[in-house]
Amino acid sequence: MKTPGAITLLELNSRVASVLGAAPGLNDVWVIGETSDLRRSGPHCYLELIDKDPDTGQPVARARATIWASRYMVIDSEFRRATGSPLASGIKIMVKCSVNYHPLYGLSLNITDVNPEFTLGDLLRRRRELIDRLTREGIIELNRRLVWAVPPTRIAVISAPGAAGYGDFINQLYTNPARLRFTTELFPAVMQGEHCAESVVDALGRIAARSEEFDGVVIIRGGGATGDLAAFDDYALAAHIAMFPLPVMIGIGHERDITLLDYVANQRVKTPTAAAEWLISRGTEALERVRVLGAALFDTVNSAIQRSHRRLENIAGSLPALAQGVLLRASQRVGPSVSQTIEMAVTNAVRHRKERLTALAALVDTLSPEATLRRGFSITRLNGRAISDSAETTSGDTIQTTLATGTITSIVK
Amino acid sequence: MSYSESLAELEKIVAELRSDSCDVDTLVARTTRAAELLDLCRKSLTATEDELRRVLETLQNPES
Repeated sequence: MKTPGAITLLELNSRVASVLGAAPGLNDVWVIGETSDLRRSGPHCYLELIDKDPDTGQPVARARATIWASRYMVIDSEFRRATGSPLASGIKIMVKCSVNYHPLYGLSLNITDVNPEFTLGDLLRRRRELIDRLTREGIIELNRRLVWAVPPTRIAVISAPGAAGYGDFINQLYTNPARLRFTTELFPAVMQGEHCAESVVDALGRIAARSEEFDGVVIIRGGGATGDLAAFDDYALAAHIAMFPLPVMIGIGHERDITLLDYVANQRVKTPTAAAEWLISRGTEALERVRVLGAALFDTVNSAIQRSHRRLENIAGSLPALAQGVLLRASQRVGPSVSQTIEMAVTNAVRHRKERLTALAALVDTLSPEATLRRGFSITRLNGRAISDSAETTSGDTIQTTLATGTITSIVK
Repeated sequence: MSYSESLAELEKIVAELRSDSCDVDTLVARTTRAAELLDLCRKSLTATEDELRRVLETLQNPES
């Protein structure tokens, strides 16, 4: 049966296309929506824009969209520069687009521009809400109030195992010039993409089960390319860090942007290398404390010895008269044999003390940095800090060399 | 004995030596102990070259 006037689908779709093409308000419109299912295919970028009901979160509108290669390069780099993250799924976005209708492929939006300020504002507003929530719940400062062990040396590391940042951290930590001893254990986690927050929370859980084995947690992610930081604006992750029983340090390899984690973590540093440096400087401070105590001990014992010597000399000086008095009194009472015994006892006591003092002086001498200097060694300092490797200096640095007697100031060539 | 325990005892000894006019025998005993503690502190903070090499090797070949 043939109904007169029937047309092909192609003809129908072509009519739709031509009506839409001529309709007002469908070209170069600024539209607000949320990105979804964003993917790159060749040089082009394909995504869906959705609009959600603010109360239920259910989608109420949806459209396919494309950013062609020629615009994508510019848009993506501008977006990264402004927000610190690449274009990705799940972000609120304001785009300039035109409606296209293709008889075979249907309706799609051709995106020609993006307003990153809108996304940035949305991220800031969302972060502010989460900060308020953590504050209301009274947990935002819990981790920041924890005190690190002195010095922290047993470190649980959360990182992607093969990441360059993890390598940098380990390398820095284990090749420190003071040879400080650290023990680290890696708790692997996915550090980007949509499972990042969940994966880091899981790693934290594994550490919490053995928390007495560690002094603190370091969460690091490699430097280099600017990555997706949205995962670190996650409430559940921030709350876990805030309430974690050990101090947490984050070094997620980002110079400029901050995330929610920066508000809850005990320490934040820019890079994995900086995380290692922080730990090393705590250890170096502890070593310095030992050195200072050693020096104090040396001084104290030295002056105690000198005091004892003076006291002994005083006794020795008054001894003949004293001894004579004692002997006289003793001989009057008990006769010569006892008086000899007393004389010997006094002499022995004095000799014994002198011997002990001599031994002590030798012992103290071995404690002393001055003893080493007297043997011809010297201490070289850069900015007041003793150095042991010429690589720590650069041309033009002023260094101080302390010898057994005096100090030389020189400039490195 | 941990770094912090050694350090606490050391600080006590230094304070003791500073404050009292302790006799020579006590001085010898305290100084000997202090020298031991200083060594313990340094050893608990620093690693030998062998240890460092072992750690770095393990970290580079985590499967072995």
